[in-house]
Amino acid sequence: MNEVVKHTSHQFDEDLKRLKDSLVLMGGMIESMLKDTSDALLSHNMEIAQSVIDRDNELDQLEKRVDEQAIQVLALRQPAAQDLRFVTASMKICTDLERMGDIIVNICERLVELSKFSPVKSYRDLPRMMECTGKMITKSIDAFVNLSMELASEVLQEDDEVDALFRSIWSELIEMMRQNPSILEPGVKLLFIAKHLERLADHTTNIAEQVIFTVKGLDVRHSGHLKPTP
Amino acid sequence: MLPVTNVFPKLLTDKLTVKYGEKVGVENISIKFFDSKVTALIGPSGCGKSTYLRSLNRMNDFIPNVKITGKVLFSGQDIYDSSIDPALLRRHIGMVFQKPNPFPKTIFENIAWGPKRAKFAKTEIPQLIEDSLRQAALWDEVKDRLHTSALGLSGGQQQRLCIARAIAMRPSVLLMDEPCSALDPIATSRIEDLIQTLKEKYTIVIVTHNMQQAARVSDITAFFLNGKLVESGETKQIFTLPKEIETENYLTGKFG
Repeated sequence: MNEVVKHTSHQFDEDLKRLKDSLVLMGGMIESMLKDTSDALLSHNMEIAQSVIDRDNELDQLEKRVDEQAIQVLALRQPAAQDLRFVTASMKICTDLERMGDIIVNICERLVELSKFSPVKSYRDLPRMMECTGKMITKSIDAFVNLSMELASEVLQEDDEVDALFRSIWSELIEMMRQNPSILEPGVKLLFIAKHLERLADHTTNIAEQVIFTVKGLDVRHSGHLKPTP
Repeated sequence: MLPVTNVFPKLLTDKLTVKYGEKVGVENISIKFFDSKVTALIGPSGCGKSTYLRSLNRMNDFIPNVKITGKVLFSGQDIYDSSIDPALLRRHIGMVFQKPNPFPKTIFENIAWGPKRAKFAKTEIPQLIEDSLRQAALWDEVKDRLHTSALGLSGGQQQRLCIARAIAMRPSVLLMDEPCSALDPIATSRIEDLIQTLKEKYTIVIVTHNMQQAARVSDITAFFLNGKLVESGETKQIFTLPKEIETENYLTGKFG
């Protein structure tokens, strides 16, 4: 969508705005769910974790609403050019956001399970990973709202940091479990949480790729483009 | 870039300008049209796309004060050269108009009219009529009523009859000026299907206000604005990723 020039049809502008607003609402819910998950991790407050789990249904309903709105625009407006890319990207982003909600729920479920065990270690890297992932989520949503190539490219670059944190947590936990097999079960749950966070970050890169597609028509998926070479 | 630049174009315009007196209809238009390709000309009302289309078979000759500069080359020949007979030219570059315009005669006579005047062999004409009607996907619907009035056909059938009438002259290029604008969606779909079949044999240039139609039927799309060609390219590219902001704004409905 060209931000300066409006459509001749005011209703078309309204339809696209409604679609965008629904996605922004989904994005906002994901941000707040992850923030609460982080609070639950640090405070060991499982009521907070349970409240995050309970919110997933609302996100699922929003996913259906976005799909319905996007299909309506396709059917009634026959969008072209950037409008078409925006609508198709919206449908993909909405799928990513819904999956992100499921992943956050998985993290909270693991936290609830972990609360029955003695702490394996002091949580330092996991909150750091959550913080990085949270920033990527916020940035990917901002990139979508502002159709910003710059923010989208930053998200793609920041994924490397989350991957590095995951590898570090993985090595540390494997070593700890090797030395003390009695922590195997909580250790594996922590590994799951780290993996979930790594997947969350991957979903933000999907969103960033869709933003790039919307703005420039470039399909950078699976290409490594716009990412720094390793 | 056009996808078939290594092939010699069937028809092309080179810096074509059409003026009505001092008023510029289109200015400096260069486009190449290739065999077996459908080219759609799109743009808002008054952008010059119909003026341009009519200059491709000298239909503008009928308008007083019209001035043409630049070139229109058909199979390499300048169609505005003094040696060219416009009537003969129009046998090679046929035209279908916005509103179906059958003659108030029978279906048979509608199609036979042109070939008879062009001195086609009389014995050849019945087969020519059947072939033309078959190509225009109308044969099965009218084969038992060839000698009834063409005015008794539906709008969609009349338009296909006009296409059959143009085909009967064995042209190599078909110009279509909004051929579906007076038709309902079913008749429109039939004409669109027909265009896909016809393009195997003819070079087709279509002017349409229906952008989705241009997207569906054409291989190449050219976008006109205020008498100028803004951009032309593969239809898929124009409709998904146009290069020019004017094209983007038109396709996404941001004019006005």
